[in-house]
Amino acid sequence: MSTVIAIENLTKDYASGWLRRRFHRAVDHLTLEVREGEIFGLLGPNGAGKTTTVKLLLHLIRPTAGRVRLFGRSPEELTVRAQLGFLPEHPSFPEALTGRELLDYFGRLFGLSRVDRSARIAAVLRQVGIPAAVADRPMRQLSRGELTRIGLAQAVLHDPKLLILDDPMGGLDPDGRRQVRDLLLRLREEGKTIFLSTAVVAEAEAICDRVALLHRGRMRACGSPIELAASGEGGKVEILARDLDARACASLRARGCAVDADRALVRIQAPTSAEVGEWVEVIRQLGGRVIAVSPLQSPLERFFANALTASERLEG
Amino acid sequence: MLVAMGPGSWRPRARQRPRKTRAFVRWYDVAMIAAHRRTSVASPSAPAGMGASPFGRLIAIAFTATCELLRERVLRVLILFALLLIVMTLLLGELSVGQERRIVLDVGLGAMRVLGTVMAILMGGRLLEREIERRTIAVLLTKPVRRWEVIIGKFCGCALVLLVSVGIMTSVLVLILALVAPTWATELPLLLPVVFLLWLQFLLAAALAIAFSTFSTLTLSVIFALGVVLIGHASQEFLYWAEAVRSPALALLSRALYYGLPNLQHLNFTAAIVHQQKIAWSAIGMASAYAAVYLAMVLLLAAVLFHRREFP
Repeated sequence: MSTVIAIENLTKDYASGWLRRRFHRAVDHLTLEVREGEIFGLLGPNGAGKTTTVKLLLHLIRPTAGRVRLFGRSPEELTVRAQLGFLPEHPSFPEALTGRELLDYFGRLFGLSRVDRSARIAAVLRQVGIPAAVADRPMRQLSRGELTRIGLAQAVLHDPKLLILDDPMGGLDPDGRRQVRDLLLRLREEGKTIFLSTAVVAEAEAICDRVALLHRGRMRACGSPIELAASGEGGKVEILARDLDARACASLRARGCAVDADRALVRIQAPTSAEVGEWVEVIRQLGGRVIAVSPLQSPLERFFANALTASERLEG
Repeated sequence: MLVAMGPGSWRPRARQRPRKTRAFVRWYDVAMIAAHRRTSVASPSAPAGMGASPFGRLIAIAFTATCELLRERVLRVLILFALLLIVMTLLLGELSVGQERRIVLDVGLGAMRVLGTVMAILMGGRLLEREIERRTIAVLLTKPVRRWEVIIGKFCGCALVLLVSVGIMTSVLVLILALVAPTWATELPLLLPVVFLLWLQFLLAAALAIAFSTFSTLTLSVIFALGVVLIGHASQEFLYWAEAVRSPALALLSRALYYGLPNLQHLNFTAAIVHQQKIAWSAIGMASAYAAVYLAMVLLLAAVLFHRREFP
């Protein structure tokens, strides 16, 4: 599989202060590769340098050091830009235009004929779940979720080989998130490469082939979610049970569980996920009935939390 | 070109009717076809997947800028106000017996110049600054467009809207002139070149506002551009100062300002038409060339500044 995105020692310093002599390092010697046909997730807390990395990839800002190559070429080249689609973190488009007019405008920039534009616009609007009535409303009247969908539509309009998405699920309702997830998985099946940045680990875990953790501009971990999750097992789990009386609840509290009793339902936070079976057995022995077991933190979230704590401790 | 790139799953069905029906979209497509033909002859070996031709991209940006500007409420209000002022010249003409023609032309062209300049500066300043401020520019710059194409495309859109505005204002002025002066038809060959040079002044003001908006806020861009235009109407004063001041440094500065800033009086022939003086075609040609050279310089500066800018 060929390399689509190659980042080598990428560093970005932002100057600040009156004399522009103070510097804040947003990205620090970042090196990574994204291979053709994979969904790569760039994860990290707010201020980790994810959006700066995305802007460096798109040449919206210039690196202080290091270099970026897309399809083996500079992102400045028009041939490269003709093959990529981009969704910004906070999608915002000319307010006087309607969604359909915006897509038509971008279609013209890609040299699509009138008939192709018309057909393609109808197809992408359907893909992202935007009804015709919404597409014909001025952009100033659209909600954040609708703008995100229009943003996704313009990103895939010209059928690009590479998609760079900055927080693609931002502002979407659960149904919208599911639609976007399905769309991204379908695009991967078609052979597209997708680079997405997000602060929500569960999203990345669900769709990414590989993820990288960024913290204070540096890469702290990189690998497949399964690989990384293997070292992050043992997080807290939440067990929802019913038919537990006050004595049973007291007994569970005595064993180290946080018990929250509400009418007939009891919410139990077990200390570790490793002994879920044992906790379920204890609840049964106390006369309770288990309704649901869900992890409070997925193994990948647990791994990232540990990695962030370790990196903070290391840097003091 | 892009159809070959993609999987072909979205290839349109035959005889599918496009949804858009607006007349200007059809005109746009005529221009696009012409652009494609021109490109295919000029550069048959253009690499695949480059997007539209540079001319096609310029048309697309200019067309969208025109649509955006035409939907601006401020612009419509300014045009209405200008028309109101031009109509008001009819009343002023009534007050000055025997001088109706002179008053209508003098006040009418003056109102056009003032409101047209304000319109041009506001449009030029808002077009780019708003995209930068709202960060909509980030998406546009990831498309296969060069940054100078964004500047030139937006300027062309602005120029088209200004041309339409000047056309509307001139039509009303001619109508008013026809009411007060029976010889209005003989004035037209004199009036049209003057209005054309007025349009060039507006283009210069819009280009200055675009150039300033590449690195500053809307308010500052408007103030800077307005300042340059006002100085431009009085730049002859710098030459007088250069001769009057004793300090050689101040004289040098005055000369530098005179030659550096545009002299908009070169484009102002209002007095000549009001006093029915004949304007030589060579003078109009020279004034147009002067405006064109200055315009090219300002747009080049805007393109360089925009090219260097980062969008964090």
